[in-house]
Amino acid sequence: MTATDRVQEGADRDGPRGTPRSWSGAAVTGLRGASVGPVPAARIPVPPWKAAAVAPNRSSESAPRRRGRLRADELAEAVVMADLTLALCLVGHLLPIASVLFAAAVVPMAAIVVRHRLRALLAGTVAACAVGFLIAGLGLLISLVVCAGLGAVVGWSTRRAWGVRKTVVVGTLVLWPPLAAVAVAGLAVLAELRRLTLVQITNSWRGASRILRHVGLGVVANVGDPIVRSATRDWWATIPLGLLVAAMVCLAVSWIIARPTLRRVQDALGPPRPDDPLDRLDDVEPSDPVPVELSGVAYRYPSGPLVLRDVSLRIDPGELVAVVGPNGSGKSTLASILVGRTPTGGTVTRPGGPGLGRRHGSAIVFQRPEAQVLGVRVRDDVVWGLNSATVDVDGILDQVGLRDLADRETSTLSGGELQRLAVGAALARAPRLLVSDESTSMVDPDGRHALIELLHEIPASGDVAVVHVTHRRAECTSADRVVALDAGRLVAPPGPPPVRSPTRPAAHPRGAPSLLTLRDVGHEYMRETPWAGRALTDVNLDLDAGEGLLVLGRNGSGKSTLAWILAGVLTPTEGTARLAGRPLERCVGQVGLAVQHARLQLLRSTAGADVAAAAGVDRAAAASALASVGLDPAVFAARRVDELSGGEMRRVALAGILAGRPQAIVLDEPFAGLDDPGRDALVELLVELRESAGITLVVVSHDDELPDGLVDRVVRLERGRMVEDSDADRPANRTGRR
Amino acid sequence: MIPAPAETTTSRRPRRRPEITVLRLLPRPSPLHRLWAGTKLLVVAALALMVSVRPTWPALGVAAAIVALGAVVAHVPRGAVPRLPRWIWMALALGAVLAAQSGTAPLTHVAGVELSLGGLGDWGLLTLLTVVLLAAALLVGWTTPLGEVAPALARLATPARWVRLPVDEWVVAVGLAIRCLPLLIDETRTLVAVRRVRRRRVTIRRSPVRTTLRMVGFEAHDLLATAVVAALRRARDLADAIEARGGIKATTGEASAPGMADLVVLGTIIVVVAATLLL
Repeated sequence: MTATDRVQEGADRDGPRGTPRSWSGAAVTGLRGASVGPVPAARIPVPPWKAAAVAPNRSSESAPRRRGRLRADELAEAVVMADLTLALCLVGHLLPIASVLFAAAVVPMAAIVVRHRLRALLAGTVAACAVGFLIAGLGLLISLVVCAGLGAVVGWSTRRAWGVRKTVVVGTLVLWPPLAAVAVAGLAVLAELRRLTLVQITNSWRGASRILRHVGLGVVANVGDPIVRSATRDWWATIPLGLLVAAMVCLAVSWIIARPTLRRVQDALGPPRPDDPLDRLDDVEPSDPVPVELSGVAYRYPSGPLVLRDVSLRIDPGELVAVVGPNGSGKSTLASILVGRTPTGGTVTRPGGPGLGRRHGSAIVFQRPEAQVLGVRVRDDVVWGLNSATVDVDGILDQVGLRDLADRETSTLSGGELQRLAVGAALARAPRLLVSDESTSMVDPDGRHALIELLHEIPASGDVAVVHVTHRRAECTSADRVVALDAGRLVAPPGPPPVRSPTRPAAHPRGAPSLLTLRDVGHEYMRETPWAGRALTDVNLDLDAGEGLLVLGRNGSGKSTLAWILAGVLTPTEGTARLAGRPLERCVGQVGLAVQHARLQLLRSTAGADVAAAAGVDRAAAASALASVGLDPAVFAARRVDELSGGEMRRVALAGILAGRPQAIVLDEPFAGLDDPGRDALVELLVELRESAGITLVVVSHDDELPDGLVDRVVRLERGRMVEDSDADRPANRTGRR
Repeated sequence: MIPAPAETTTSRRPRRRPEITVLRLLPRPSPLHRLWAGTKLLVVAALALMVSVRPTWPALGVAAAIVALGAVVAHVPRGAVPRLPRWIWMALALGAVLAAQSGTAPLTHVAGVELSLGGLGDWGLLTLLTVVLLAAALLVGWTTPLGEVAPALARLATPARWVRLPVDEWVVAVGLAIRCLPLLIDETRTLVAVRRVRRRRVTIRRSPVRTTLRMVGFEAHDLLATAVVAALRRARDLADAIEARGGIKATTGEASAPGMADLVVLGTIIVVVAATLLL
């Protein structure tokens, strides 16, 4: 039996340039070209709520209609949005300005409705209510249900491009009758609770009116007395009336807050993808993914460039094949075709169906460690979606070296452990083809070695074919075969990689007074609770102006905590942290912070606007900042943030920091996920910044193989302690250490 | 949930900031930890029902006694109790003052000021009912491994299956929501930190109030849109991971089932609740 996937041009729609990862039917896509809205975001002064009223809504054509069970992308988005609503509601309960946050909490719920079916909203609401009940009991549950109702109306109105009046009228008609009915019926049944509550209201008012009379405001008290008396007596009328007013106000406020935000979300992500033909193909065919033969395979994203052209190769059972190439060379697309995506040109021949995620089918492990874990505990994750009785969980965990961690919660694992867990979850399905799509690129060196060793052992343990996709040539040496890709074509495999030596710090001239000083700094999260966790202990550090420091450490060594303390956004629980003599927490903004997840740093919709807003500077200054990080302002100033590649996002974030003229910059894992050329370019930029502008640099990384010249000092953190300092002999440090 | 915004303390030792202690399991195991998650949820629901139907001092006493017993059995340390934000204490104090001035009998006089014991009693009852119910929910969170919640709900929701509600879908959603909450909390934290580091040098023209309001509006939209977009991108990864495991399938909770201890606890609670309601 032979399954041959034929050419299906334009059947697919997917991710932004260079990162064609989402082949699963996942919805988040960047529709270039189509996404340039009618209101150029470059001109600021239209406030968002007005922009919403002016700009026609284009999202009405989104959300393909589907029927039946929820698909993975619908459920995933519903769950994540439900969590966001929950988080906002929780904060709403904790802060007095709650009402604003409740209105904001409507937005994620509305986003579900804009993008998907009501069935997805229902699943999200149930999930949020269950988790909310666990956190704070019934009170939170009511807020969540109200948010879901408001979100449904606002989301629907966004889809239909209704104005605020129509939204309020229709929403009130839909929401108010059931709300009022439930409230009145509930109070009618729970007579004693009602009596107690009404007495409480009456008592409070009596107390208030007495105090009012005391301070000479008897007029107010006289007006209020009969109102409160009749309101509590005729509760069956007061409560529906109050709910009516509340519903109308809430609908209007949610509409005003949600509409422009939803518009930006839709602009950034585009509509969800139409159904993938993959599933239907799979349902009818027994999985038998190898040997797989690709001949003349090409792939083109709709309205995008050709990312693969004329690729022919064969993968046989029992072999380890390495696919190597720089970012954007099409290797991730190749990986997705191997596990079942239909190419837009050429043929793929297998004995059966690809059977992604099915028993004896294919399996894939992705790049980001924390993103692919589905279970709450390690054990749950291995058997996710399987009948737990049929899986030898302990045997699999033994094989991937996680036996002792079976009952740990997955949120406590390091990146390397998570990736091995992902391999374990793949092995639980006894796959015939295992694809590792850059699974090593975000993991520290130790974790990386363990992972590669594991991948190496798998083909030998059975007739499994393993394909390891990577941008590190060093990882190819143990493979049976190396396939090299460049710009979407197969090329001759590269020679052996250049040997990188561990970073050697360059000498730094001494003499200037210290800029950043840490004295006996320690930090403990959740102190005085049973969950207290120590992140840092006794850190002493002096940094001069213009110095470059590399903080090395494995995942969980406290290096991100140190980065946040240096940026002033986290006040250490012990010791002092100062910038030129002032406590760091009062100098927030003077030390730039580049976070690992660069997307979170870009808050505006275009790169130019973001740089300007980040630094509080005008357009011209923003343009020159963009130029200083090697991005042509003419091209990038108006580019949408969601169309940028990972490396470009980091550069834009850096431009925003630089435009604010900071005295020092802290970069948290700036090179994770970048290939060698991308990394070298960023290093070159940082070196230049240090040399020309005299900016102090602190690079936090797990990678000890950074190019020379970037830093002149290296410290190593282990379990929150500084265990190594290349500059230990310096007098200032010796006094600091005492 | 989110660390308090730029707070500069003048005291030498920084004040403890509110940190997230939600959904954290108490590390020390106890008999309450071993109880089936469904049992604990049912007990909380029963207590909520009881005090809603009979919001009286005796019912409150029974509920409080059950929760206190649970807290003792679970070895809940004092540090686990979340610190309430200051505004809640102020609201409570205001409520107490108003109730004391209500003039509801019986009355008493302290230092020449008339206090209403009746009003204070009603206020205390309502406040304590809320506190006891919150404590019951917290107790469940402290003693239930999060991985056990979704399977327990799957079993509890069996009646809903009979009316063909998509329970399996919901159970998967609950499991994933529990799994993703820490990630989203981390992201929210990062977002707040980023917002603080960004400088805001606003050139104030015409009306400063309007400009400020406008900037606040912009900022709120920026943050909200970024949070939603980042979360939806995370959802893409999540969906990829789900597809890589063969899509959404019903995972039955055969691994979790009530045992003898659960039956005993549930039976006792039912008797106690029924007695309180009927007597």
